Amino acid sequence: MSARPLVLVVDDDDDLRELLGVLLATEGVEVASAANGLEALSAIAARRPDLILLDMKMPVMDGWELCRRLDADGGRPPILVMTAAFDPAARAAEVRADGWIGKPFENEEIRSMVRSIVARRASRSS
Amino acid sequence: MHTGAGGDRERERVLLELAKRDKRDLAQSLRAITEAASVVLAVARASVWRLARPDGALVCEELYLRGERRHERGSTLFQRDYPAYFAALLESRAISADDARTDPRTREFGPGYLEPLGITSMLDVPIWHDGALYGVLCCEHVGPQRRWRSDEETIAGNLSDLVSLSIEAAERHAAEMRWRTVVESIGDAVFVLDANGGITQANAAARALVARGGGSASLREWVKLAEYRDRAGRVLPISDWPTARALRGETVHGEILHLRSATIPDELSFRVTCSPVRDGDRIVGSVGVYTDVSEEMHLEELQRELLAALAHELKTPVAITKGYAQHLESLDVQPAWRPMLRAIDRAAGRMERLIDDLVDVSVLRLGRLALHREPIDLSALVSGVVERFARSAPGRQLRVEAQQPAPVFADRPRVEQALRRLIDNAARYSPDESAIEISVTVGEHDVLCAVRDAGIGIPADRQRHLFELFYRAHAGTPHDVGGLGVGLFLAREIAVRHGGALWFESTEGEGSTFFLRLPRADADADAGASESAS
Repeated sequence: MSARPLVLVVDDDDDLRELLGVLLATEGVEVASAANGLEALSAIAARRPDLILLDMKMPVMDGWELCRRLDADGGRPPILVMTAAFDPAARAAEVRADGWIGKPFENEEIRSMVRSIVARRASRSS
Repeated sequence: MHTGAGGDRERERVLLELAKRDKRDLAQSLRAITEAASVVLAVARASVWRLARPDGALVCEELYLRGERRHERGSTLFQRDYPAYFAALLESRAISADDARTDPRTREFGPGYLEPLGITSMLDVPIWHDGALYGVLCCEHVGPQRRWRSDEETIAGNLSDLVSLSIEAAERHAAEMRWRTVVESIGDAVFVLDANGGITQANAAARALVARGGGSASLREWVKLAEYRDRAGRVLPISDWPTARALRGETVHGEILHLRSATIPDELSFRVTCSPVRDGDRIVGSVGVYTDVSEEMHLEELQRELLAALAHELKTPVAITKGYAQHLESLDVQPAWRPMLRAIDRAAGRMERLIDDLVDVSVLRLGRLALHREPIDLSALVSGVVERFARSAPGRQLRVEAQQPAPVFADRPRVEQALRRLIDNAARYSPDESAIEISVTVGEHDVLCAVRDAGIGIPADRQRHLFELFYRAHAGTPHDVGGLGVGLFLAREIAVRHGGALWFESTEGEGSTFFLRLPRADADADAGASESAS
């Protein structure tokens, strides 16, 4: 039943989370969402995602802290940093993310990135 | 005989005392000299007169009346009334007039001056200063006529020289005081250090700074109290302190340093200029000027935070607008809606570019374009940028021809940013169906990246302004796609700061090619590093 890969969208903006849910619906993935790092931690505890789309600046717990916690808890799923920062590559490097995408993005851009990361993971696990 | 053997000794003593006096106050010096002159030359009146130009008058600066033990000043003698005397001042070493009332040089003083005052003999010595006649030292005898001896003339000459020395000392002192006032009133801390790093002079701001830092008189003690960091936060060893560098002959220009000390609660930031002080070939010390820019740095930090927050807050809504417009357009919507959705998408794209430009301008203004260079392969970097671009503009034809490896020593995000700008521009100003060609060629000294489009080109009359900040070549034309006109300025700035260049060739209606040249990193030294970095 839950054979479809899970993508966890972590962003404090409700509308953006919803948009990503809509956009990724065509990609054959299941989309879960969390409004901050803390919510993400409990979501991850419930079911480990195959990919995290991570905003960095968030209230309660930001992206940096979430990554620290995940590393401390022994490993993390692939992370795609999704940021409006001036230098997204630098943000991604700070948390040793698997990739980054600047906000705003083109729909096709984010779809194809999600597609390729999920496909890589699927081929590795099969 | 006015003096004897005892008088000679007395004379020596008086002259020696005069020579030893502090000469900074000219009025005091003149009082002492005139008193001494009246005593050693045994005259009733001794005075110093200053030549006032341009009216050609002698103004009495100091007159000592020995009999009355009284000083006076202020009388004036005009050249037009005493032409022979004025002429003699310029021509003689001394005017030694035994009979002043008949001497051709002084007799013009007779009825109006000498007779009423009872003066019979005059011994006047011109005072020269700085190559010009300053005035005259007058020794006037009252009573039976005198015959001036040559030793008396010598003494009068010595006294005149003393006046000259006193003037010089007073002028030097006044200049020093003026300069000290200037330096003291400067808000920046000014230090003069000797070759051992001991503070020899410090103005009020500098003294206050030292006091704040815990108070110390030498660099060696200061080292124990304070810690300097550079802009990158690195603690500077004492050999890298501006003073130490200046003592090695280097001039430090406006570098930012951060100071920490146990007695200063907050970190202070300074813009420092420091130069060696030379004595011939030898470096004998250093002068340092420390401008407190802590407030400025704090504001800059706030501005940076504000900017980041603003960009973040603006970009998220744009992302949502753009995302839904693109999504809806891809659905089975009413045909009439499609152009509207495309318009929303385009408008969001314009806003995105404006925000990017705004951020870039602010980054430039904040002087944050500091490079963090590492060995990278430009070809790999170009491929990454192209790949990313291809994802955001599917269907756009991009041809890449890149020689590998293309080693450069560069700041990865900055070079990426420059390339992105060039590719964006090529796409923006050329038809969707035309290809964009990107090439990377490795030369002996440089690596050259070219971005070629078959677009509208740049009108010849606008080409020379293309790299100006806020210049938009297509403003007011149907090709105007918005923005603030900072992209190319920034891209060139990035190239130049890497020691490279950015230029273009363009023909209106045929297209443009932009060239980004970066110095090639030493292939041997960087081969391994560039491999691991790519």
